[in-house]
Amino acid sequence: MKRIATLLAVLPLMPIAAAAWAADMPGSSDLIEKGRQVAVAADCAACHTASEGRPFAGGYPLQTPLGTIYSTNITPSVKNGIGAYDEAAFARAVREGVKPDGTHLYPAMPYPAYSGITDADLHALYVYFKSAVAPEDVSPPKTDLGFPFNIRASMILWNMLYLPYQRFAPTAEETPQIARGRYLVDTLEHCGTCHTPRGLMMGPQSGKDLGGAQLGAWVAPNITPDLLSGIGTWSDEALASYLKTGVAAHLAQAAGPMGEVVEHSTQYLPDGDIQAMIAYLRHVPSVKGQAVHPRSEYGAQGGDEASLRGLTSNVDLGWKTFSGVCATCHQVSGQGRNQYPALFHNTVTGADSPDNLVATILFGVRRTVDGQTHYMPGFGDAAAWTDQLSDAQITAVANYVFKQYGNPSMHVSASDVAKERNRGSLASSMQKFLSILGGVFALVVIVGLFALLLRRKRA
Amino acid sequence: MIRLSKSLTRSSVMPERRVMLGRRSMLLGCGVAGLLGAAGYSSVLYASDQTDFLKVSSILTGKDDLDPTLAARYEASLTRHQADFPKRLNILGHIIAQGSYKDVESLFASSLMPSDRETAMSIISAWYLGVVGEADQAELIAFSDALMYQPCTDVLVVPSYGAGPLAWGEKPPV
Ligand code: HEC
Ligand code: HEC
Repeated sequence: MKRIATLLAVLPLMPIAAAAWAADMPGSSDLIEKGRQVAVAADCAACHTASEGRPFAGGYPLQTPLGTIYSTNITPSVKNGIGAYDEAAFARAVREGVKPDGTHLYPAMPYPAYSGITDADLHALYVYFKSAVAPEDVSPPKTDLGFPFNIRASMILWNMLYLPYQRFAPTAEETPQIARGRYLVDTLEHCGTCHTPRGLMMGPQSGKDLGGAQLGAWVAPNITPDLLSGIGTWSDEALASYLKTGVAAHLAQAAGPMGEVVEHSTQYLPDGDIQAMIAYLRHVPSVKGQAVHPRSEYGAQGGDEASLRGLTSNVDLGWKTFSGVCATCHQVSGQGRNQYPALFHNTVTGADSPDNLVATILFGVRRTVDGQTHYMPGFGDAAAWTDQLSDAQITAVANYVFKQYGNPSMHVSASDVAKERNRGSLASSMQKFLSILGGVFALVVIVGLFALLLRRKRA
Repeated sequence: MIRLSKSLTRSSVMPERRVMLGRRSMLLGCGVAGLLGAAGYSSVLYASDQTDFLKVSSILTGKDDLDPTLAARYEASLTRHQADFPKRLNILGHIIAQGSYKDVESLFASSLMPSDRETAMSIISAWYLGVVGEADQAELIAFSDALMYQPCTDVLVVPSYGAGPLAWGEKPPV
């Protein structure tokens, strides 16, 4: 058993192709700019910047039931960051999730997607981080999960199963635009990390690429071209607007983890890259889901304002909450106004799962694009005491909104709301992490049982 | 006298047949309107009855798109506050029909009895304010749907509703 363990530990240590250009530091300004663009497209800031004043200094906290996990400092600080990494070490951390001292990162760091980063882009990224990012001598708090979850070596096994160890290369069958889109979607932007469902061990399910997945309190919907379950009915303009601004008018808004993707990454992509991603998204195989009607095409303006306003007894709690809270912004007939979106023809209220509506009510929306903040307050535990809504109120208003403006077959129970309340207290951009961690632990348990069995046999 | 008004008051809550006929047929009308509306036949429906609250309201306010649900609630509430409202409505309806008045201006230019003018004003007031009755008797029926807010809804948002950040324009460079 011990020998197997050593073998497992050594396998991923196999040297990756040594980088030849580590010598030409510090890079030309073109190279640095290219590296900066790669860092934006790869959305490094979302998880590695905890406070705006200290970009990439890490320390973004993720509360999990097992303890708090902190992202690492990736500024060129020698003591606390990546200052001492040579390019090969940097590449290995980014693409394989292994630090120079051999410790493994959890796949909260999306290195399975980043493993496709081309050598040229990785070089630019390295040069950018080494020469254009200010070193921050702060050490993020140590992540210390209790046994057995602190066995980062369990990642070795997971990597063997799921890490592709393959660089991106265009294929003969695809146009250069689609190839660029594939590189952006699958590798740099790692869209599948959230949008592709995971199997038992939290490896991506094959044949379900971008088919939609649960992400803590949120659901990252199906974004394949399927007409009912996917985004096949969206126009190119709508999709481009969504990725550039977080809003596709009368269709969808980016909240939660997707809001962060738009805020930190896709809003800055050049139009050519946005078009390339759209071309690729049109091209991926459709994944059929449960939906019987496109989620963007449910509901209409209306409501019970005329019949219930002013009544003091026997008033439906759903309407009462809607009228007293939501209508303030979304207006009495749910039609929205200016920055406030309509609640009908809205992918959240037309979805075939209630999660995103409940999550929106609990945690709100906050997304800063082009200097403007789009903000809906949450009404969960983080809200001011006077603004908090109870499970009963949220249940009632969610059901009212589904019935009145959205997919009428959706139904929320108070226990669903209570469950989401707990799930969502986790930082949203790293929600995916928890689920992956779950798979890793499943592995640890399986390996542990296996070891136990072996020992028993020997004894 | 006391007994009479009491029974009338109760009758407005628990509608007595005679009093509520107009309202009931109108509610029926609403249902039919809903059905027909869906099929694309919206107009026509309330013209049959001279005492029809919605039709009278339409002439008094000069609007042909009044909400039938609100009309039913205003009528019921006016009846709650003024026991003889159905009778007054009936009289006003007949005056309008006989004079073939098409708008409130020509109606008010005629030699209207003070009590009929009062009835007309109570109906107009309900639609515009969204409130029936006064002081501690006031009953709120509509807020954002009150007619007083409608002329400027294209630009202004009804008080207490949000128009959205920056709805008044960009922050000036200070
Ligand atoms: C960190 C996780 C995460 C990543 C990475 C991510 N998404 Fe999302 N995405 C979400 C979530 C969660 C939603 C639902 C957001 C909402 O309803 O407001 C979403 C929503 C969307 C939607 C709107 C779907 C709808 O029906 O409203 C599109 C389109 C989309 N994502 C595309 C992408 C693309 C393209 C990428 C890669 C550039 C990407 N996403 C990366 C989590 C993610
Ligand atoms: C203070 C104003 C305000 C209030 C109150 C408010 N919202 Fe919102 N709502 C917003 C804004 C702003 C957005 C996001 C617009 C954007 O993303 O550009 C939003 C977005 C949404 C979305 C779409 C979220 C997504 O991920 O696409 C839903 C659904 C929603 N709100 C429902 C509600 C419900 C239900 C209530 C009442 C419990 C409510 N809102 C209360 C302002 C508000």
